[in-house]
Amino acid sequence: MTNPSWHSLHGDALLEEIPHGVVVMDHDLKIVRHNHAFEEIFGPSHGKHCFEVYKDRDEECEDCPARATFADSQQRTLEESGLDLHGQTVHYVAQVTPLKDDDGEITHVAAITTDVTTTKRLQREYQTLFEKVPCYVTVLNRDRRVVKANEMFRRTFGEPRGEFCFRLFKHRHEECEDCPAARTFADGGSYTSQHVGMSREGKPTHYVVSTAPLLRGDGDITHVIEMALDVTDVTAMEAELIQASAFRRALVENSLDAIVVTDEKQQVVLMNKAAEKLWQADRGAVIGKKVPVEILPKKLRQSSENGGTVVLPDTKIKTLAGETVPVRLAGMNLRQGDKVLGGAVIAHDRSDIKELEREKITAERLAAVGQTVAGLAHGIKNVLMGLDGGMYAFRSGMNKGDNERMLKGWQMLEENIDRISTFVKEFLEFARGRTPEVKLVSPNRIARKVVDLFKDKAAMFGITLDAELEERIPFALMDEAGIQACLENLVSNAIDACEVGEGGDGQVMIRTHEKDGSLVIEVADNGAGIDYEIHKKVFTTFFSTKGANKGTGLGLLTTRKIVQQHGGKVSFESTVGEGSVFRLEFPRDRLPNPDSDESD
Amino acid sequence: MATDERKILVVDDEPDVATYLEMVLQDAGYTTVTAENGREGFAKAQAEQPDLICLDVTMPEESGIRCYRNLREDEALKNTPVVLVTAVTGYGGDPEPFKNFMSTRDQVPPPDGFFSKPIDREAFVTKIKELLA
Repeated sequence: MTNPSWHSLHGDALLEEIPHGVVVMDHDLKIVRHNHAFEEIFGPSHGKHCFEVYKDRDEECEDCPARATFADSQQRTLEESGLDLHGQTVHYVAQVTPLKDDDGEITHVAAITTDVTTTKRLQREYQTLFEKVPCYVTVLNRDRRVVKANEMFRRTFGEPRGEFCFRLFKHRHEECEDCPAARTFADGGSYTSQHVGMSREGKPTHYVVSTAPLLRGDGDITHVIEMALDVTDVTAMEAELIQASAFRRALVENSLDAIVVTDEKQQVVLMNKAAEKLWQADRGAVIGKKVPVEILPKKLRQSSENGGTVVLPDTKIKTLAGETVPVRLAGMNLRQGDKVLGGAVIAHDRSDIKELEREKITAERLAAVGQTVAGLAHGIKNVLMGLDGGMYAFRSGMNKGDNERMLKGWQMLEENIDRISTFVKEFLEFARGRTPEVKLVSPNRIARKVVDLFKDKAAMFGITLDAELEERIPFALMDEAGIQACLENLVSNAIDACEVGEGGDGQVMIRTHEKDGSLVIEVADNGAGIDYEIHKKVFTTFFSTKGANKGTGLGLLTTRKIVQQHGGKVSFESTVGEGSVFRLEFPRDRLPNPDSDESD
Repeated sequence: MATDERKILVVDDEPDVATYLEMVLQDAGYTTVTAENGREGFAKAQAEQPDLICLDVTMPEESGIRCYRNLREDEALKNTPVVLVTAVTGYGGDPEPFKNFMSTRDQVPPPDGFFSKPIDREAFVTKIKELLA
């Protein structure tokens, strides 16, 4: 476009065709013509001075390019900023061209003005992005030399100074085998791959590297832009996460407790080895399906619906094969904030513990039987001795013709034979017992019943019999008749003790209360008390302090046997002259089950 | 049978056993007194100063063992022969429990005789005679 004539620009049509703003101004810098494209940038400008239009100034600019062109006839291009018709800053490139008349005199100057505001902004944005993006951005030439690098790169690696990228990133002396830039140069594609490099300090550094081609107009790839993101921390965290997750998985899998986890739709998502074993389930067939009722029994489902964790310390579950297993069962909702993610069921197999408890109860029972047999032998020996004595007296009386002695011998024989039948009867009762009938009963009701039964007998001896019962004692699984027999026996003993005691004002009290998970029933009296020597023998069979004709000594033993059948124990405290307290303690978790075969 | 003036104390809570022992001892020519338990037995021993004591072990109020200790600690009675007549034995008359009792009380000398109920009457009388010879 060298020296186009004024006339050549004169045609409106041509002027309007030019996709740039075009103005023509005279020596006074007054705009005599402009096209529509110009008006779009700066508004209607006809008759205005160029400085008013471009810069919104009142006077001519100091280094006015139009003036310069008027003076030297030179075409010049300049980049300037001004204000557009809306008063916004506008960046433009103006090409100032002298317009000459036929004599070669410059009559006008034309300025072809291109608005580069958007391009400028894009350029600036690109530059900012390139510089500030929080990863290493480099531009590589075909030799893999870094010709440009962003701020972060320079901060970490220093000025690239045309160094090879493999030297900078990896301290290598030759190109990497899997160079993504090489692939991009080869086919123009974008590639992403992971690389292990080395930091300036020599520490292994993990990068995710992406490459993209920088195209020239003719389609040749002369440069590649490469972005490398340092993921060392992420990689380390990922490794830790993988390890932690593996650890947790192993922990759950190898837990001795059975663990089943469900999602919010109650579908099984996890089932560990112990759970597979406990519920006799094949987890392959269970995972992904609705949780079976055996694993999430109704009692757990209902109570866990209120949220929180529910623990059933001593319950039973049914396996998928239909067997019953005693367990400690816990259920919980898994939440994140308010959202329920699912639930977990944790079960601890109590078969072994139950077995141990059963064995312990059996051992206690056998010990009681052993003591009973030993005690029985002791009692029988005295009876045998009495029979011996009777025979001796009878025979020697006969030999001597001593009728009185014969009679005495006969009496001794009769008495001891009577004693034998009493022993046998009571012993059989003790040994065989009655078949306990276990059901839910009110301990307080049994206590009140015994008070009613013995009240009259006690009153006959001037003894007060009463009950002091804690309110709201829960029902207990017991053999009502057995426990009643125990209380009857203890109350009967207590009445005897008061009768023998010298204090007068005899009082017998049945008390009930709960303590540390045990039901406690006490029978207290203010009678004679038991001294130290007898303390040790209270539970010995046929040991009786009541004299030969009162009691066989089986009462307390029978009581102890019944209490032991209930998993409980008998103890007592006694002070001579002040009275005794016999205490029956029944740990509730050892009470018999109605459906078990523990009764005998 | 000639009457021996020597006196034997029988301590047993079983009236029939006491009666039997009394008869046997009286028939052997001795004089007898009885007591029903350890406490009464020791009191009777102090009062009567018997020549020999037949002592049961398992008795109410105070056992024969406590009584035996008291006897052995008593200046006047510590040399009086004591024969234990007791049902406290192991299976088949095994004297083990009694031996255990002795070993845990080594400061107490063993009794002079030990008979398991029911007694072998002849051996019993022989032992008494031997102790009182």
